[in-house]
Amino acid sequence: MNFRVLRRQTWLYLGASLAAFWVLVPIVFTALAAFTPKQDFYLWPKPVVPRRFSLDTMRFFLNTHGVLNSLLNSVWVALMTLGLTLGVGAPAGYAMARFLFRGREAFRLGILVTRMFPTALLAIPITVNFIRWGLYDTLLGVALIHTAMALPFAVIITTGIFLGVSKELEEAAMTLGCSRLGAFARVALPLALPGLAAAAMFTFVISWNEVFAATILTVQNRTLPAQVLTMLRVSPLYFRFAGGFFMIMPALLFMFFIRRYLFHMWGGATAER
Amino acid sequence: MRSVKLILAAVLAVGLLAAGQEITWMSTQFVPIEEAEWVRNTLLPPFTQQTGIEVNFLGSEYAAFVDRLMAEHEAGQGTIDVICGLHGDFSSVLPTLADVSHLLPTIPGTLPPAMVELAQMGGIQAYIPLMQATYLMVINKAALDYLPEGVDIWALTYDDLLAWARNIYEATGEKKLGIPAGPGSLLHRFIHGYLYPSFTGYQVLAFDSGAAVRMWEFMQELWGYVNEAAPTWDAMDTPLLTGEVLIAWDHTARLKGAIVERPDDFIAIPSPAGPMGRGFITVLAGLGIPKTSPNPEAAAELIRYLTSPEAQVAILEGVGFFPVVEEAAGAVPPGALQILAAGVSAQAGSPDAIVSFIPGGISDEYKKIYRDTFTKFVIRGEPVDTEFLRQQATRLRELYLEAGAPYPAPDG
Repeated sequence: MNFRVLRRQTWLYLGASLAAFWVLVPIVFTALAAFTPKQDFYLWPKPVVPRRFSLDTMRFFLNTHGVLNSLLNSVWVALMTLGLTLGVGAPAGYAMARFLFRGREAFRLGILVTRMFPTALLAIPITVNFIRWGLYDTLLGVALIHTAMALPFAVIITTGIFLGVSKELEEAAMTLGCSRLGAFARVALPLALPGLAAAAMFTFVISWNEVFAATILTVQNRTLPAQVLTMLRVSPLYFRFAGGFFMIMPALLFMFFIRRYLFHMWGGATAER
Repeated sequence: MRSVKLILAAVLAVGLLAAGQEITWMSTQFVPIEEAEWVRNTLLPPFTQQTGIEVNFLGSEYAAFVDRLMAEHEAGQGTIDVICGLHGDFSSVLPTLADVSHLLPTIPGTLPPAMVELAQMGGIQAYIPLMQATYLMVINKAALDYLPEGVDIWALTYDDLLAWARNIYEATGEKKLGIPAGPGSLLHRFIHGYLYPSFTGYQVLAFDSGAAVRMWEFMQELWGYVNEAAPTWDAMDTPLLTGEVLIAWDHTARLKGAIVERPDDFIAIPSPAGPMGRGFITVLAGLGIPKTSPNPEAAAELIRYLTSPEAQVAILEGVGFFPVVEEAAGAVPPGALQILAAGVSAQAGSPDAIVSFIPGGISDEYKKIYRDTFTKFVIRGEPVDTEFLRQQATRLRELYLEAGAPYPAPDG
């Protein structure tokens, strides 16, 4: 191996390690702090790795009224959002990618307009209407708002994905006896899967992180951020770390499982071609 | 008239008998995780046992609190039965509130008339006073070694504070004075309720006066001895516990953690006095019932329970808010709370007291005006610019004029 390649490789790996560090260090410290006993938390100077570990802070946090319940709610809302967003967004993206129609460009821009209004401004009117429609304090109501937030991104991402799937393949499928729908389901969709996974990840995270609408729209059926973020903001540091750790984990797990589709898109797919 | 009373009594009895009822209590207070858990697990169970009414406690941020009440009011249909908030929180949601004056005669303790009167807004009794708090100083006993000669910590002045912090800095090379100046801190309270009244005698009226200029110049000097991490701190209990600071100013609830953890190390003392006197804030929180409350009788029952002397002492023990009911005031338990209570009563009873109230009924922009001025002159250390002060003063007065709100004490 010549020296120049070696040097380039070294720089590449150094850069990649640095980027990984950038992301991982706060997560590691959050995890360490979440399992540090309350008494050791205020040690000064503070040891990098705690002398003792304890589950007390975490246990108090988990036993806090409504935390586990709201975790379930959050998962449900995120899944509903995912279903609604991809159910509506993917066909919209497909249409944008495949068909030329009047007002296509305006539609593309129009999608983004929904993101122009700050949620805080819409909070009262939305809540008033949700009360009247019986959606107030329901998970479906929250999922609908999250869908409205995630949909523009989903449409734009999926448009890009379907543009990348060759039209000829679908046409070939149709010459071999597939219907239009069958060609979409059997050819375009599987090829678009990695991209859809990325869109799904994005949607999941949007819903998982959303606080404001979830706080206003729910009373008893709260999502995790709505349940804990307000109180963590004014709670002692050790609870903030416990809460932070607890809120990062599900999102990390979700990404861990959906990761291979992404690799497929960036790594595997190019290698196969 | 008699029949009205009979109906009222019947309604009340039905309310009492309605076992298994559940009500929702939304509050801008008791929001931190440990406080909320304490409310659910300690404060409320005796109430549920006595009355059979289950209470769903809902901690809320100010913005969400206001939005939710406004939305439920507009929709004419509510889920919130009873609310708890600061005096200022109530003035923002006044149109949504029911008059609770009929509850006053049924409160099990004696409420100070001045407080009851303060809780009357827009021609109704907007809320029933529940608890009070203030902001003061907590010092680590280690700081006493550096106390300038002849200074009485129970009658501290801002000049004494400067000399004290300078002594510590010169002896140890460390800046051990703490003022919470983080984004979630209560710094604005320190500026409008403590500095301004102490140096100028007013919160609003003397914003750009010569006395105010001297005050900002004093703060620039004092800031030289404030710990560099101050702009990241939202509450002072942690820095006191880690020893990063030895002298700190903050809200009682945000200092309490330190005293509870190590009661032998800390003393609570009154905030300093300036040329005009000892300016400090009295915070009043209360309970109200929205017009859209689905169970107003059960809500009233909860209000009666929370204003009983036993519940009042429990609140002090649990979250460090001081009682309003006169019967409870004498029954402060020993330990950390007594230390805090000693400081609170010394501050309240100081002969040079200037009591300030938190502004109510105006937009939150006033906080930004005070904090921006502080950031510019003190944290960034720019020279005190009278033209800038005048602009800020004009905007501040406009806020009161636009809202038609009275200037808060000591101005009004």
